[in-house]
Amino acid sequence: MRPDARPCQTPVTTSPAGTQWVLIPDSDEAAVVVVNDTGYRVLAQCDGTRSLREITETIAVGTNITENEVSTFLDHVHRCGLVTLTEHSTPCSQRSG
Amino acid sequence: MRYNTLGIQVTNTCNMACPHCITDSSPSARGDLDWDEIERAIRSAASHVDGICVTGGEPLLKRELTFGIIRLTRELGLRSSMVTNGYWSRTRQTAERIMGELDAAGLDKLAVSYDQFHDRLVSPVSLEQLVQAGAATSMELQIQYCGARQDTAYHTARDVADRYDIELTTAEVLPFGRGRDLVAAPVTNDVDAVPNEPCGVVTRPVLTPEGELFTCCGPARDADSTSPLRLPAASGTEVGDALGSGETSSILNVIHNHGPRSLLDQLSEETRARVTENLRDTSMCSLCRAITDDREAVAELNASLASEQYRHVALAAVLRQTQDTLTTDTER
Ligand code: SF4
Ligand code: SF4
Repeated sequence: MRPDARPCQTPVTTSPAGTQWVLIPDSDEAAVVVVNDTGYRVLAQCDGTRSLREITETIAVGTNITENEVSTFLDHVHRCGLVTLTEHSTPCSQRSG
Repeated sequence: MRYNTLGIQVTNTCNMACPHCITDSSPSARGDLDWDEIERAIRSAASHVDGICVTGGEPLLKRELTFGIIRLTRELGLRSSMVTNGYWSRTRQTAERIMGELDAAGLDKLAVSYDQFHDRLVSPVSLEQLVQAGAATSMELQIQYCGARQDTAYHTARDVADRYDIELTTAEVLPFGRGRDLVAAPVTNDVDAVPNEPCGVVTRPVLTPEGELFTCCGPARDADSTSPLRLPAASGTEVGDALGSGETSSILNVIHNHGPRSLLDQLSEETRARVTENLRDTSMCSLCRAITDDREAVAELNASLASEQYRHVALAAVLRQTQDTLTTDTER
């Protein structure tokens, strides 16, 4: 994923399970995904206005996570249909499709 | 899997001594939880459960604790419920007074146990007085019947439930607690007769007066010290973490999603044969206990289910969401 890509989380229902979170997508086309707390925090940043680099900077505070790791994670949830990507800063609520 | 209601078993003592009692309660049974422990447990569990259920023994023998739990549950925004034997409804006045007090304290749901064993102390008239007094409050009422549905107590329970339009739940006597002596059926190894269904009770943990925490209310008591049905909590403050570990346990999630029969299918032939030998009867709980009390079976399951842990956790969440959606649709 390019550092300037701006991911946008697609609508999900979130269900806590111990230290994990189960994300159940509203859309039948996306997959159910179980993420840990860091993954949950990364996805919470995916509002369509923040770039991969900005998200990593926020999450990296207090952790030693790298841009590469966040990118790998976002690539995975993107393949699962849980985020969409653009290169322009547009809040998710204003994106079409 | 998300936990539903945490049972707080305030006491082992009961003014009845039903022969099917799964908690072995009686007038001579001793052991109570103290308030500090209860409060710590409820506060620590609050983010893992939707509600708190006061149970016993007979909770109203520990009035202060019981009312304290109901008030705290309300304060935390959780749903409160209580299971009683209804001994206190012998007169209409007492039934109305106690119902009023429970309602004022914020109790959301009251379940009264009534069956051929309870009706030795609680008459049909008392049951009706209790339900009638409850119907005048905002509380949800339920009658819980246990046993074969052929006796007069069942017909009384059915009749009262129908007339007041309240829920009647039924369950079989299980071979645990004192019920172990009551279930007269010879030990059978017919594992095919065990229902092949998910368990809805695995999400109702209970904290006992001994400070032990189990993933289900009833049949898990006296489980092996290493059983996955025991949730490790050395004190009330650890109850939340213990529930958190149960929520992602592969074995518990399989029991929740598919039932104990599905666990049996994962075992080696030798272990399966040994587990089957240990069945007390053909109930689901009997099979569940036979598997989870067997340390080798648990080790085999932990090894075979490890790679699938998140799939089971995800499936449990999807099942719960589907259930919630169905419930909301039915209520519309
Ligand atoms: S079944 Fe209920 S009423 Fe009967 S002895 Fe046990 S706790 Fe008491
Ligand atoms: S099947 Fe197992 S988990 Fe479910 S209630 Fe019975 S003993 Fe408890």
